[in-house]
Amino acid sequence: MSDATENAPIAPAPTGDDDVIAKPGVLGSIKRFPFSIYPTLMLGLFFFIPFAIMIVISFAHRTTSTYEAGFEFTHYARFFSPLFTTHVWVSVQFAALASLLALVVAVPFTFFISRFRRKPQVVSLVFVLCVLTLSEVIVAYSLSVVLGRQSGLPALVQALELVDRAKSWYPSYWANLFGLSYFNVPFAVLILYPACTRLDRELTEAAQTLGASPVRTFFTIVLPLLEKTLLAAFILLFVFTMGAFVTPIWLGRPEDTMMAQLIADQALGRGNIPFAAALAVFFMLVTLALSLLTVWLRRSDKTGVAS
Amino acid sequence: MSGLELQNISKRFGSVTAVSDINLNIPEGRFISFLGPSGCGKTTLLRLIAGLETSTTGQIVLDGEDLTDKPTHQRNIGMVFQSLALFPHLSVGENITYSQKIRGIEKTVRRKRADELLELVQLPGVADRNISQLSGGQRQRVAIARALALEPKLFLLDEPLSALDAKLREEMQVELRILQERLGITTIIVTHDQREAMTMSDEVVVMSTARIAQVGAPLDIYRNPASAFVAEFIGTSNLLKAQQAGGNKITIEGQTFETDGLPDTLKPEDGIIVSVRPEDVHVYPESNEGPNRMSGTVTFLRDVGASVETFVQCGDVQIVAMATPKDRPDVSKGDNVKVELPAESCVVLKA
Amino acid sequence: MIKVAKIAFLTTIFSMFTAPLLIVAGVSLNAKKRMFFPPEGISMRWYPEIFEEAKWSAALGNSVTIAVCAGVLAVSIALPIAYFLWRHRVLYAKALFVAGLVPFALPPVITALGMLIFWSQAGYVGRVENIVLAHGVFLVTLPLVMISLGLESIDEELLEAARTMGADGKKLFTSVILPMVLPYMIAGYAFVLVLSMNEYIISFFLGQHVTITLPVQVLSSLRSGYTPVIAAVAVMFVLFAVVIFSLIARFGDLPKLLGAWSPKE
Repeated sequence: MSDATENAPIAPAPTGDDDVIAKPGVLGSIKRFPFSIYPTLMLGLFFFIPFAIMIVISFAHRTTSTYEAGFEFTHYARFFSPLFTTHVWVSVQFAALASLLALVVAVPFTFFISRFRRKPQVVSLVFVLCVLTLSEVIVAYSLSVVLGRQSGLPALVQALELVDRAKSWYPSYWANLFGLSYFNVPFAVLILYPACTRLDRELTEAAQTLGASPVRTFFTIVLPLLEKTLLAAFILLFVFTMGAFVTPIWLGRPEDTMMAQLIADQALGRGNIPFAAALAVFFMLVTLALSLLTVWLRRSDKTGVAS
Repeated sequence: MSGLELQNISKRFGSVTAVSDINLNIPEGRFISFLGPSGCGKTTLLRLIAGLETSTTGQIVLDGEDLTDKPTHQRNIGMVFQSLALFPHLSVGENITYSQKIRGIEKTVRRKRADELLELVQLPGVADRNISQLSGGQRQRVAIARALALEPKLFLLDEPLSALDAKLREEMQVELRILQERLGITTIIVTHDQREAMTMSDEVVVMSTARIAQVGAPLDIYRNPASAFVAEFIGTSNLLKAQQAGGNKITIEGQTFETDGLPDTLKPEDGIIVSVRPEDVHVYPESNEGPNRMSGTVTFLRDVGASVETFVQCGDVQIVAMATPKDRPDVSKGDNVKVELPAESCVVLKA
Repeated sequence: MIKVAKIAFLTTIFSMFTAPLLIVAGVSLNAKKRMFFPPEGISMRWYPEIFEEAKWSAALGNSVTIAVCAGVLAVSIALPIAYFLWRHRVLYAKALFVAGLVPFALPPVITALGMLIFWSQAGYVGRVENIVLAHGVFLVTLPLVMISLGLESIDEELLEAARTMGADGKKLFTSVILPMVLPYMIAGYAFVLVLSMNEYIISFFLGQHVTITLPVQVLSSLRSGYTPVIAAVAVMFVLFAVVIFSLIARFGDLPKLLGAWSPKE
């Protein structure tokens, strides 16, 4: 069946010609492309349906240990409670700051890497990927060792006799912020990498022949051309950080609780599934909105640099 | 002491030598071409002068000042890149006055200068447009204007016309030359097109595999190529294997020819090649007698309107003669002819 | 001057991201059951414990099983979607592609909760299969993007030449397209492997203390008591990533996979 479409004219336009003939709905498409059944089924069944269920349950009525069918806005109403708003605000603050700090480090870093010769560039990328894919648990743990009283910097500070008695630097606000920023940097590098490689080398060289020092070139040529990408990167990092789970648990104090923890607490700790679901739905909508924003940003980039 | 001096310049990238043993003196105000096939090192040499690469050995001195260790942005040069490298996020005017802006020159002065420069490159009134709205030729001019904004001491161009179509290219060649003469600025242009180099330059630096093959005025190089490579690269030439026959005589295919002189550096045991330009070769009927002639058969005739090329096979060698329609030899394919290689047109080169 | 600053900056950043792991490696070598750095006495005894001590070897087994299966699942879903969009640019294909991007774009906690609710409703929780399915779907995005990249880079003229030689439909797919896209499939699979092994939130939610994966076990052990086994596990994770990505770099075009600009495009 699919052979017919494959044997279509040899002239270029390998993909478009089919569309002109048929404008089917979903069912028509499935009939013409039977191989699309499997992925549709898998994604539908194991992703979109669970989501639909979650949305439904966010309106459900909560009973003492579980929930039953119902339709109420009680859970969404709790969004306005001071406890909730505080935690959301805390999450937003951390996410924004951590994203900003990560970008400050990642922008020059990625720029430099993109200018390396092939071999060092590949090595750097492998390095970044290894750090990036490391579990939140491992990273948080490693940082806690570094910030810990026993074997980390505090111990070093004590050994250098700058203080009498070493104190652990975590859990604390700064430890959490540091951990979140740290975890964000490799991700930021990967987001910025395509755009940095698209920066024509001759542009920065031209700026230099016109008298701009390397620093000046960076701020007048490189950054403006990366503008849209930077904005998109910030948003993506923000969303990413908002989902932080282990880091605030391990490196942060109770008052540094973030969104993901909140949801886990409600769902697993207190068994308040509907409220957790409502939180998740809210979170999801915000995430989708921000993601659409980045897509729009990339589309409207006229300097052709954003990937 | 003015002008550009390159002393002992060489550049290695790892195990690859891009340029070596470069010694060059370029007086102020001259128009120079770096000419050669791709990979010969001409672009690397230009970039070394610009400071975009650092030389492995040697010095670069401009007007008595040692530039060797100075970074690009302190060298006071103007450069036009092959891709033009116009800043996409700035308007035409902003591109041109970029060098002024970073020096803190204020807006009205910059604006005036931009308009001046646009007049200079014959592109008035486009200062507020975006780069993407200009045609290839227009962008070319903006790139030139930008490079000249601060009246640099050196004007460097890396294959600036290669992206233009043939007609525009020839127009720009003339315009660039006129512009340069007007401003009197020392200009170096990199090109692989020998006609371009010959048209525009005061002097041509012919390069091959990382070294300078010959330096000289276009006509000098054309008439007296220093090597077979140069003879072949500049214009077209008949390159014939020959043997030394004592004094100023040489033999080609057993036939003896007189020449105007052999290179001083030639040793008696050296092999030689003789270069003769097609337009200097004369074709006569077989019965014609005289010195510096050899017999052959016409194998091919090519009449392209502005010139006629006659291909003659003389034993093992093929000789091409070129003549204007007025002076065309009265021969046809298959005829037996005599080919004259005048003594004054035979350039003897070491093989 | 600038060059010095640049080198200093790069060194600092690279060190910052290696140092914690080096310290952890040091901790893992402690001879006694203490988490000191520098280590008190050098011993490799904690590494074999990962395989010998029941809770660790079980967690390791779970993680590996899940990763291997989820990888197959993710690639098997990604390939038809990518192929679909590449061959027929209909709305349905585009929608399916976006659908494949969504799971990974959302913070994992949302997917975790959604899955939990789903499986609770189905009355089937805490099993390895739950996590396999969740990871397989959640991590579809990476193979999807990579395989799409691979398909885009296939020269149309190659396909036309093959067609003129008689290959069509299925034959074209198996003899020309599949071999060319295989490296991208493998790279995608490798990425899923690493990410699945390291994944915490979804495994935590769905495992329900029944099926415990390695990262979950690490956090659990950190809370209950310290042993250098944790550090040893951390080192293993890093080594695993290094091996996988080095292999990809060695046999593939890593910059291109990550979106680098190819001059001829």
